[in-house]
Amino acid sequence: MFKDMPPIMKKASYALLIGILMLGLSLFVSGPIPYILTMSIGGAGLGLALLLYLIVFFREMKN
Amino acid sequence: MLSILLAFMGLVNLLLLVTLGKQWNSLGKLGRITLAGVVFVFMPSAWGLAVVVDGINSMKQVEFCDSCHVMGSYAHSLKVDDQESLPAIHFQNNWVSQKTGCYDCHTEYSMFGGVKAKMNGLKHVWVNFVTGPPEKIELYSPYANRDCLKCHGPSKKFQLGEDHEDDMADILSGELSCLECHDTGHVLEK
Repeated sequence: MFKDMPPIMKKASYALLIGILMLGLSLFVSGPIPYILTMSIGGAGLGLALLLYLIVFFREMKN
Repeated sequence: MLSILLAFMGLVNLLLLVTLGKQWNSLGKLGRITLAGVVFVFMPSAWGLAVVVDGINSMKQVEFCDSCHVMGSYAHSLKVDDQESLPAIHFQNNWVSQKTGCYDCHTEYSMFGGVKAKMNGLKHVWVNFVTGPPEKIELYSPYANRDCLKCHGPSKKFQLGEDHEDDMADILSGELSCLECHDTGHVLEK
């Protein structure tokens, strides 16, 4: 699916994929522990994806 | 309904991500950066924030509080047939929302009351699942008058009530607790 992407973007894509799936799952769970787990893993995934994208973005801007 | 809409938005973000992955080589530098910006920054920020806000709102519901075993008797006390019990009459007469009754009464009426409630909620999760709940559950601090007065304060029944007239200054300043006279809290099953 992401084989044409450079390695760092591939990692960012998988992090985003996990983030979206986990946060999406948080919409349908109930109870405190499932909420905390899905939201924190999902939030971490989105955050990591954003960070990796920004690294790529600034590298591209430099070149 | 909102959950379905948010799930759909997440799906759109996923589809855009897959499209970006498949078209990576056929896109120019500017195209890649722009589409990746939408997929990695714009969409997740807006969508993620909406999901978190939706999640936080759903934590205000009575059934969420009731999902911890230790709160079961308190949630049940909202439905007891006792016209003296303040929580029960507030809940059963729709004076507080039937959906968010716990949150309506137990969140401080102050600027950061909601934030404080969420921080306490995290503490409750830790206590419930790790250290174990205490034998007797008590409020962190005495129930504040302003949490009653946020609704009752402007009402004529309260303002013109003969019993309130003499002590109005003390009630408003919080020196005399509402619970001194109205003292029937949650009626718990033995």
